[in-house]
Amino acid sequence: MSPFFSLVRVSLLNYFGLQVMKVRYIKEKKRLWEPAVILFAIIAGGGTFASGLYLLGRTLAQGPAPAMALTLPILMVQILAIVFGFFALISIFYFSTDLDLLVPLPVKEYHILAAKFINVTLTEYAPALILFVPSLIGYRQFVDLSVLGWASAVLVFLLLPVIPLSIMGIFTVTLMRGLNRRHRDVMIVIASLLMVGGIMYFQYTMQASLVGEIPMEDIINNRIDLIWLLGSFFPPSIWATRAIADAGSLTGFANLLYLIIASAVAFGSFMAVGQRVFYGGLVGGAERDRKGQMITAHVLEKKAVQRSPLRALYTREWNLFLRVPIWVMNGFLAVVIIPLMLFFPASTAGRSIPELAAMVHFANNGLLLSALATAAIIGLLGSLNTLASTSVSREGRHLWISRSLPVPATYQVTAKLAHAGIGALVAAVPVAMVYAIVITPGTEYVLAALILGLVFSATPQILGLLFDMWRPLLTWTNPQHAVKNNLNAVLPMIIAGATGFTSYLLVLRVLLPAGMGEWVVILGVLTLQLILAAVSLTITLRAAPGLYNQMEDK
Amino acid sequence: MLTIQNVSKSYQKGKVKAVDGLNLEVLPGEIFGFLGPNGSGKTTTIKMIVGLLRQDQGSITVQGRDTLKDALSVKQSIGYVPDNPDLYDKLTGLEYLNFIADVYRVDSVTRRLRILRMLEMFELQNAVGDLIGSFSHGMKQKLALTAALVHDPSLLILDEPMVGLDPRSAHLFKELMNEHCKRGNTVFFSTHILDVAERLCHRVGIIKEGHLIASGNMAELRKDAAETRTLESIFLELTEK
Repeated sequence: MSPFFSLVRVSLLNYFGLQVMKVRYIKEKKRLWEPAVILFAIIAGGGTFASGLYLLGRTLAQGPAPAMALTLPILMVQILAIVFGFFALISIFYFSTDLDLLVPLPVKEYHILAAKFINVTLTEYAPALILFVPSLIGYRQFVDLSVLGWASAVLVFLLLPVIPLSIMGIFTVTLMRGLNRRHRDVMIVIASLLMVGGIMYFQYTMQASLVGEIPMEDIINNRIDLIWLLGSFFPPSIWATRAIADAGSLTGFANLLYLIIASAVAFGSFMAVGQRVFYGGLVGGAERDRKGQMITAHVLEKKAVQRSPLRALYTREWNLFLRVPIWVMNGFLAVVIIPLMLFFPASTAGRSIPELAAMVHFANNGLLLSALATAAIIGLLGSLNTLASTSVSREGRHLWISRSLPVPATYQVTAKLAHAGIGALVAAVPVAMVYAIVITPGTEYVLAALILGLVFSATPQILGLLFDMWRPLLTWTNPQHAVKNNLNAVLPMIIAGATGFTSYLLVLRVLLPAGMGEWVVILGVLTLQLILAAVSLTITLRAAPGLYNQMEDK
Repeated sequence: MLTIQNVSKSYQKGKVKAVDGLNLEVLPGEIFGFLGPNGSGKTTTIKMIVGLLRQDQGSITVQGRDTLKDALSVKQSIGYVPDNPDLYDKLTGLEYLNFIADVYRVDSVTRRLRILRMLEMFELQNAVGDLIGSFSHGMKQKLALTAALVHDPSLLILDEPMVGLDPRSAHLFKELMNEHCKRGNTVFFSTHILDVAERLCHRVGIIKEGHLIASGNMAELRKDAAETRTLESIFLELTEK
């Protein structure tokens, strides 16, 4: 086998933990329930999402521009690849533990880059499968696809993540080459926030300004190309759409060719740039960043001060979390995206904000429902926050330190939950602010939404931590793995869905039909969520000592 | 100080027996060397003592307290340095030392004295304010030992402490172990460097395939082996039987 293919093979085995899975499930036949649960989660979660996209695809396929059923999912896949690909690439290129082994080997830089790029690309196919394929099938219900059309669809699917990841790859290696070691972590976080915020702002303002000025008649009579309109944010999505929709024609062939050439050029450019700057950025990052402050008795008087074990554990959680940019972005990305997703459409639509606010104020139970909806969003953000559900996993190979300390496991749990709780608060405040600005409900409703939302987010986080203690992912080799490739991070969302649905039933089926007042309803939901959180916390604290003792025995 | 009674530990549902019916006693105030070939069960034994692994059978007590039933109390009296100290790369050396001192409830005055003394001994004053990720292997070893000693544990457990250390640092480690013992404490360490064990240890134990095959001071070991003088030759003879 050639060195490059050997490198790709080992990289795949390492990145996806294939060898670990083979030993665990096939050779040792341990934890065989895990693949079944994972499959169930994928089918249940992904299936629900996919069926929604299938229906969307069917709906759009019956509209004035049927190919929109393709453009929308294609664009979604590519935007996700841009946003999440950035973190995946930074993590695998610069924070992966196998780099110390790979760099001294007699392989070219672009071989290492290519092998790692393939890993990230393969990861992007999972969301692409859920987003693109159902829409394609929905589209197919109303539009015939020839054999060439299907062939184009397969090729397009394979090429979907290539251009966005290549662009992000160029951005990543250039950024890392330019940053010096001392400020690297902080700059990665700032660059990430600016990038995500910028993408969101550009997309919404551009599309809002276009759509708002186009008469509906022109859209219906096909005088306006909706594909171009939607896809202009990222032109490869237009080529991909036309390649499938117009397969068999010159237009279809030309667009497929554009896509293939653009993908090749993008990937080639990434390889060329990477070959020049990757090692420079890598080596620069490995240089010892020594401030060289002399520790004297005088310095220790200020810095060596006793604190309680609980406070020490809590401080440790924050220090370790904040100093790994990948974890900060994965933990708080939703904090940036979701409020922007709420705010930008409202702000760029001009006169809609007062109308929306008036609608809420005058609707029956409008303010109550707006507060509950805001609380639901805050609770959902809390469940998307991976601070608790990956807390033990993120300790990785350092877990021996926590397990050898003379502190009760309940202290460890308390510190981790306190850390996650503050994280939830950080995520909750922007949402509450958007609610206050857009709807102007009054302070009491904003506070109610904030408090209710935080309590709502408690149960998913507590049970997420319980699950992470039960089966932590400790074998990760790059920090992205510990949070993104960790199924424990998915569980809080499922729990939030369940507890949210319970609250929905309580409000809409019991309290409101019974004619209860607004504040009785809010109090009722709060009580329910407090009970769920209290029960979850009791279970978790009781289970903690046993789970900590068993951790490395698996 | 440390009593290991009939302890066994296996992996892969009993297929691999790492430790098999181990019986061992370490007396207070002594330096005990734990020797054995690779894969003989040294690290497994040490991990069971410090609570990172649970034995399948038998008991381990430290100062009369069971490591499973009184885990927190036992951990309070132990200082542990693993064979490859994986410390928090994203904490500074000083943050790590303070963290350990906090969880062991070492007061401010005591910790400052101990930390400063050890930093001076190991010449880490210039480096300890930096992130541990920037430390060399030897520096991490020294930091780990400093952290293990900050609360002056009754039992210091070291797993292959000399690996990767330069001669001066190795010498410092040996001095520290001696000092620790002279204060009435106990040191239990595993090593492959037999001449260090021979010169430093009051008693040694030799483990092979999970069994303790010899134990005692040099004079006692020489009685068990035929016509041998050095610990190395005793070790080779006993482990090749």
